[in-house]
Amino acid sequence: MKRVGVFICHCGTNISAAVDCEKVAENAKSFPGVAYSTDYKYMCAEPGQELIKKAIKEQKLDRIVVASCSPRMHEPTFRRCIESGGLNAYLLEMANIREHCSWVHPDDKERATIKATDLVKMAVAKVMQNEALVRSTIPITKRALVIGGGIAGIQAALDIANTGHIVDVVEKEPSIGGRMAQVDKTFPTLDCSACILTPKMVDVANHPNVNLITYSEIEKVEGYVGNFDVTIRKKARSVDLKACTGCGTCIQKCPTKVPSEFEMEMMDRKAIYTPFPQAIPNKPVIDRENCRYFKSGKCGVCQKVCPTNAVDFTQEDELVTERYGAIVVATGFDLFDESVYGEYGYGKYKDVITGLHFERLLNASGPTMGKIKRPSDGKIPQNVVFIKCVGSRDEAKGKAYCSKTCCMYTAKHATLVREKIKDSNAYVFYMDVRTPGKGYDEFYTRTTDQYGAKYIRGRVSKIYEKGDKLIVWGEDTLLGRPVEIEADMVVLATAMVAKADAAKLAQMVGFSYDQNHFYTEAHPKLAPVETHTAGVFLAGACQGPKDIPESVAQASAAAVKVCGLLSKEEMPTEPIISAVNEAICSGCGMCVPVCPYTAIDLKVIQERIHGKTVSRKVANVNSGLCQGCGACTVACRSAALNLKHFTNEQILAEVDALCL
Amino acid sequence: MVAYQYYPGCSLHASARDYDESVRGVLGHLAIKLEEVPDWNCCGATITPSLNQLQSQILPARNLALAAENRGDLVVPCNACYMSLKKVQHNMVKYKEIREGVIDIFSQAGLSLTGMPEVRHLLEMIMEDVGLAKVKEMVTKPLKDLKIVSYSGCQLVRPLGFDDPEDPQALDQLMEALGAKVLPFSQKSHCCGSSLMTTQPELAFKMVDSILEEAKKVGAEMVVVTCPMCQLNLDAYQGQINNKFNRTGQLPIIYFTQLMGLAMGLSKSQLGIQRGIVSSNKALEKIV
Repeated sequence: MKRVGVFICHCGTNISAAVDCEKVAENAKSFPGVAYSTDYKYMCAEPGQELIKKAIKEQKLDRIVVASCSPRMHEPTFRRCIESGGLNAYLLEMANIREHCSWVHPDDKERATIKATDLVKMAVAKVMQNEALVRSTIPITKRALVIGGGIAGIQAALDIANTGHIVDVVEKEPSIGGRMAQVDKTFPTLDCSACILTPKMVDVANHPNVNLITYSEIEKVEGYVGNFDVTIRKKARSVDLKACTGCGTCIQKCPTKVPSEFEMEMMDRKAIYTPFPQAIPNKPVIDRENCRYFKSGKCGVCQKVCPTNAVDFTQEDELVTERYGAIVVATGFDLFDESVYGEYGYGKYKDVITGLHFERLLNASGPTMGKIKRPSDGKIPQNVVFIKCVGSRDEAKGKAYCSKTCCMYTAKHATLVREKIKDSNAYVFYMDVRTPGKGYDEFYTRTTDQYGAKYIRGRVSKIYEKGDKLIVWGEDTLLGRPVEIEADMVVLATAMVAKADAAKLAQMVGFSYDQNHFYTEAHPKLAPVETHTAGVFLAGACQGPKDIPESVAQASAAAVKVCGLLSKEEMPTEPIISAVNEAICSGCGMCVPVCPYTAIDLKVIQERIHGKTVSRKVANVNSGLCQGCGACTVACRSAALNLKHFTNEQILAEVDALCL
Repeated sequence: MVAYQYYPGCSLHASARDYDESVRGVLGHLAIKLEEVPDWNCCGATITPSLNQLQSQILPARNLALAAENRGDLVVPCNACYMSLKKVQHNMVKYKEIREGVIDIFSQAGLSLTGMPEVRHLLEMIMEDVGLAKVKEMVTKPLKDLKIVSYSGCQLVRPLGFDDPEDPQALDQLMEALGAKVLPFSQKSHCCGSSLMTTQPELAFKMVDSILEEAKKVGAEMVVVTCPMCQLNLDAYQGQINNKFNRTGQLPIIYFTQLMGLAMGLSKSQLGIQRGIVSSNKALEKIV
C-alpha cells in the first residue's frame, strides 16, 4: 500500500493570499493514496523541511507531493530533503501552485483554490506511479575553456589556473586584452587602465596552466557538462608564433596602411600588425584582406626582411578539437551604432565621436599621444559637450535598458577635459545621473564641484556644423529653457550592446540569450554566473552592461563554479532519460534523427524466437548524451521509448486525475 | 492625363500666389491635372492645436472628408498644411477618442467621413510619381551654374514626413536634375520660426538669420523652398534682419516649382517670379 504525504506551502503570502492553503490540504486528504496532508508557511525553510522528514518517519510515508513554487528553484531542495528523510529523490512530485496559480489568479480565491486542489490531485496521481531512479556518474575532464580574452576572461582563467587546473583561453582578436586595453583611465580612481591590465595579461600569458589561443574562434561545441568536445578554428596568422621574436621589422617595412580598429580608425596600422604596443602575444598577424601580397601576389616585403623567417604566406586555418569539463563565456560587448541618431551627425561631423574614441584621444599611446585634439583639424577643443544615454533608455531608437557604465565614464571624461585643457568647458547633457558603486557618487560630486563640469538635465535635439564649431541645441529641463552651445567637440556616451555574433555563439554552445542578445543567467539573483546549461558559465559584459569591477567579480565567481565542478573526479547524471523497451521496439529508427543530442543510435540484438536465434535492430540510448527532452518518445510509433519520470503512464495518470 | 486632388491652402490664394501659379504652370506642362478640393477651408496650421486639441483636428478633417468624395491622392504644396492633414489622418487611425470626437462633431454639422485620401506633399508626388528621369527629360534650359541651397523646412520631413528628417535628400536630387549646383547646407530642415514671426519676432529673426547666414556663407545665390510659410519668413524680413544683426546682402527665396518651370522653358511671368520681395533677377540672369 502506497502512502503519499502532501505538503502545501503558503510561500509567505505569495500563495496563501490567493489560495486557501488549509482547504487545499484538507481536500487532499481524500485523494487515493494520500495518508497524510498538511500546510505550512514556508515549506522550503529549515522547519518546513523538518516537518516533511518527521512526517516521513512518523506517518511511514513512501512518496511525497510538495505544492509550492516552480520546481526550477526548489525541486533540488525537496529532493535532498526527502533523500535525507530516507526516500529516493524521485519519489517526489511538485505541484506548482504559485506561478501556475496564485500569481496568475490573484483576484479569485475561490476558483484559485479549486485550481490548486486540481494541481495537487494531478501530482498525487503521478507520484503514485513514480519509480525510484538511481543516478549514475560520468567522468569529468579536468580542463576548462574560457571564450574571450578580455578582462573577464583573463580573470576567470587566472583564478581557475591558480587552483591547478588547465585552462585554454580562446580569443578572436590577435591579442588578448579586450575593451579594457582600449580604455585610458579607470573610474573612480583614475588609475591607468593599461597599468592594471597589462600585468594581468602577462600573468595569464606566463601562467604554466594557461594556454592562450589567440586569433581563433569557436567552430563547434558538442557533448555535455564534464565532457564538452570543442572544435576551435585557429585562423591563419601568416606568422609562425614560435619563430617570430616580435622584433617589429616587418611592421616597419610593410607598405600598406589600414585604419586601426583598436584606435577607432583615428590612426593607421599596417597590414602586418599587432593591434597595440602591449599586445600579447606581441607578435604580428597579417590582415589578408588588406595585405598587398594576398591581394595582388606582389610585395612580400615582410617575408624578405624577417630575420627569423617567421612570415609564412602558406599558413592555413587549422581546426583543433579539445575536450573540456567546463566553459566560461566571456565574449564582451560592442557599441551601439549611433548613426541612427541622424540629429547628432555621427559619421557626418568628424568631431562628433563616441566615448571609446575619446578614450583613445586621452591615451598616451593613442593617435594624439594623450593630448585631447579634434579629429578634424587637430586643434585642442575648448568646449566639449558630452551626451549621455545615446542608444540607452530609448525604446524608440535604441535599447530600453540602461548601459550602466556611461554615467561614470562621462564624469571621468569631463574631469579629464577640465584637468588637461586650461580654461575649457565640459558640458554634460543627462537624463539622470546614476552612480551607485563604491566611491562612484563621490567621484561624480568631485566632477561637478571640484572640476566644475557643467551638468545640464535634458536631451540634445540637434547638432550642426557652423564654421569650425558644432552648434549643439538642447533643453535644460530644470530651468525649462532651450540651450545652445558652440562646441568644439561632442562625445556620445554610446550604449553597450551584445556582440553582433552573440546569438550564434549561444546557439552553438547551447545556452539561452535575451531579446537584446545578452546571455541569460540561470537565475537573476541566485545563479548570476550560471546558464541553464550545466557546465557553461558567464562572465563580463556578454551577460549585460557592466563596468570593470563588476566584470572581474563575476569572472572570479564563474571561476569558482568551474573549480567546484573540476574538483570532482566524476559527477552524478540526471536519471530522467529515455529508456527503450526492446521487446516492442521495431527498429524503425524514427527516433534517431529527432534526437537533438545525437544520443540515439541503432544496435543489433540477438533473440531466441521459437528455438531459433534471430538478430534484429533496436534503438539504443546513450545515457551520457540523453538530456531527457522526450522528443523521441513522441516520435516512437510503438511507444517503445519512454522518458523515465515522465512515462506515458505517469502523464496519463495526471490527465485521468484531472478529467475523470 | 493623371489627375490629383489639389489642396492649395490659404497661402497659395494670397501671399503665395506665385507658388500657386508655378504649381499650375509646371504641372500643366507635365500634363498632370489638378482638381481643387471644392469648398476647402484653412488647415489650422500650427496655431489651432495650441488652443483646443480636438477642435484643431476638425479643420483638417473636414478637408479630408471633402476630398474623400472624389478619387485621387490629395496633393498639398504647403509644408504646414501637409503636416496638419497627415497628422489628423494619423490621429484618426491611432486614437479612438479623437476618431469618435471628430465623428461626433461631424454628425452635428451634418458631415460624414466616408474615407480618407492619401495625403502627399507636392514634392513627394513629383519625386515618386513623375520621377527624376521624366523631369530630366523635360528640362530644356538647364539651370547651369546656378548655385543654390535647398531648404526643405521642418514640417515636410517630420514628424510624419517622407524624407530623411536630419538631412533631406529629395529637394537636392530634384535641383540637381534641373542642372543646378546644390551646395552643402546644414540648415536644410531647421525651423524658420513659422508663426513666431508675428508673436515673437525677435526669436524668429534669430532663426531666419541662422538659415540665411549659412546660405550666404556656403556661397548660395538663392534659397529653394517647398513651403509658403518658409518663403515668406525668409524673404520678407531680410532688411530688418540685416539691420538688427549687422548683415549685408540679400538672397532671393524661390519655390522649387518656379525653378522647375524655368528649366522646362516656361516664362518668368507664368511662374510668378516677379512677385518675390527680394528680386531674383540678378541670380537668374545667366539662365534666362
